[in-house]
Amino acid sequence: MTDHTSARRRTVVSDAAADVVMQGRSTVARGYVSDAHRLRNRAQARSTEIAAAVRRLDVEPDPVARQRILAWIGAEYDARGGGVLLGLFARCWLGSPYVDHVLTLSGFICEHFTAVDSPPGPYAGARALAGNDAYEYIEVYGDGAVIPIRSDGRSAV
Amino acid sequence: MSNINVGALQNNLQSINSNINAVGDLVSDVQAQVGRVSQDLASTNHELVALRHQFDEFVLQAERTANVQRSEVKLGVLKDDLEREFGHYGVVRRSSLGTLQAFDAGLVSNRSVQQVSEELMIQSPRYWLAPALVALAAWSRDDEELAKRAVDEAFSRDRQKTSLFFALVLRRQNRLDSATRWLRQYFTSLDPRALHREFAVVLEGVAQDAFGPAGRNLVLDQLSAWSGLLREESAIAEEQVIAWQQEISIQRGSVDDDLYPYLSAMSPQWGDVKRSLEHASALGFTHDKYRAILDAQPPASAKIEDQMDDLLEILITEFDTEELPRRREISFHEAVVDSAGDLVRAREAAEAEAEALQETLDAVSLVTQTAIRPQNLGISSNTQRLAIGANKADFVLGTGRYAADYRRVHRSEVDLTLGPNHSNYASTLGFSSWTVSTQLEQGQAERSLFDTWDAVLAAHIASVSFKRSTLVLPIVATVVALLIGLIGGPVLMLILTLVVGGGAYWFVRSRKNRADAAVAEAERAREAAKAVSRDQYRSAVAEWVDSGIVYREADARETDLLSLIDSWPTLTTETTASAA
Repeated sequence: MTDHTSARRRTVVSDAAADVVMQGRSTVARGYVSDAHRLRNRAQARSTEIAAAVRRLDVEPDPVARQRILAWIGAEYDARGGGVLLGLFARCWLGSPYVDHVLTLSGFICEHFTAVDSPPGPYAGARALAGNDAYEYIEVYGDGAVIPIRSDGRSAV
Repeated sequence: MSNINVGALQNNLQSINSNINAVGDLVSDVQAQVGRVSQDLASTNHELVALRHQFDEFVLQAERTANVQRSEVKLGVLKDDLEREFGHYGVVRRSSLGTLQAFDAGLVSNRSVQQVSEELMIQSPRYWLAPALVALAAWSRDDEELAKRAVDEAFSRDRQKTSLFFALVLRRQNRLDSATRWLRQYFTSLDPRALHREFAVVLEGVAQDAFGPAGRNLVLDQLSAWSGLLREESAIAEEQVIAWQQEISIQRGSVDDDLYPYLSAMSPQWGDVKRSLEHASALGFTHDKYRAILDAQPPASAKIEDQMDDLLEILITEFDTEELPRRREISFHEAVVDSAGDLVRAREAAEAEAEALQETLDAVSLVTQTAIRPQNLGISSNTQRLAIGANKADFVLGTGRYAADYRRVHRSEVDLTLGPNHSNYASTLGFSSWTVSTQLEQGQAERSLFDTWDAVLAAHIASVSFKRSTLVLPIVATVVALLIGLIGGPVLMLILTLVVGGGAYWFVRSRKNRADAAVAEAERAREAAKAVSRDQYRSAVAEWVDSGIVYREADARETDLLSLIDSWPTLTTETTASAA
């Protein structure tokens, strides 16, 4: 029987660990990047390792390993230079009652949603796409773009 | 008082009694008939609703048939206009091809060719092909002076088509160097942002290897340089992806409401479900269409003269710009006939066709239109295959975007509503409405439905059952009669009491019987009403599940389409294959 109470599961990386990773991120150069350039970077295919890392993250029990994977994914996306990535939205394989989850790269939070929850703000439109088998996960960017990614790393749109 | 004629009174009483009985019988008859009428009214209402639906459908059908008829008439008129205004070009066109073939065979004298070409020169003003024909005739007679002047004249009338024409003619006569020179001359006069449609002939020539290796390399180098230059602008690259998206969208099928009768009637979100199904179907149809294009047998390669003749024919018949506005109208009306009168679909298809019927296109769009709409550019399926291979990335993106668009708005659950008229029972017993989401488990939903029915029946029974208030009037009447009788005397009192009391008793009795009958009727209907509603709900749920399966199957065809595109041969793979 589905539990209709909204019970989101949150996994928060410890603050100390987050600080270390945030320091690492600040060394990435942040010069001015034109929109066209950013969109071109965004359109490049992602490496298959990123998709594999996202898959591993869901089933990884160890919090330290999870934090490491999240940090690595964040660094990879920074290096691509495709703009500010808010988070990765994907279907949740944990099973009932959770339907999907979002990995927020800025705070290293993994938040799960049940069928009755509606995901907040920018992720609302990603739910229908995430439920489809054709997509591995959905990238949600700071400029509002919602990009579904296939399992071979190619962007679908 | 004792003189009152009791016998006569008794007779009168009896006759009154029998009259009352007769009235009572008549009233019960009327009652039964009223009951029947109300039942008939309910079923008439039901039938009226059904009739209204059928009528709306008929009106839509009639409108579409009218659209188709109007378009067919207009098509005939437009084609006649086209023939009338540009038909005389046909003579010049046939003569040029005929001249070339006559030269091959050596069967016609120079004099006749000269005569025909000069006549045509007079008969078709402003047409570039006429002086070109004169040049050919002069060339065969070795009249260099005339040939030069004729070439200049043709060149001044239409520089690009003339260059291409002579490139092909020289190639046909196996003068490869001169042909390549004319080809180069052709390219210098081109603006990659505004290529005229006859450039498709060059693509066709490359596909058939008509220009020899030097010409082929010239064309391919030029094309890749232009493509690199133009794709720098994201607007042009975007247009190509949108063109592919439109192409896929046009392939979608249509879903008939009759396939899902219960779901379409009961769900307020049926429109969205239908749209999802229709859009998903496009992927499978697109895959089948392009699979057929890939698998089509290339025609057997012919002699160089025949190949060139084909190219020349395309060049001189397909591309006159004056005809284009009419051609666009014709394509719209053909689309109306094809879509059986659906103007929205027709306009969509015609707008996509109009892309290929524009006067000028940029180089990248021309290749895309060659891939999507070869029949509008008059080229063969071979060239179409090449062009698709050149634009694979756009096709993939177009597919992805098209799929993401309909997936984004797909509903994973809908509401099912049973309204006040969903069955005869519902309309007679005063059913209000009941809504449930498909997400709710079936047992729970059916329990909720039965609870609603119980509430409805309770309300109905309460409204039709015998009420104490009906006793009031008869009792009051009896009391009044008694009072009057008290005043009037014991016999009168007795008579009045008997009459009024009897009438009152009968009245109350008949009302009670009627109420009891209605209650019994409602009880009898209880199980049947619940069963009818439950069956409708179950049918709707079954159709919903079916539609989900159909959607998923259609949606999964995206993988087939993507793998088809990925495996499509590109120019490099084809050249290596043919070189090997």
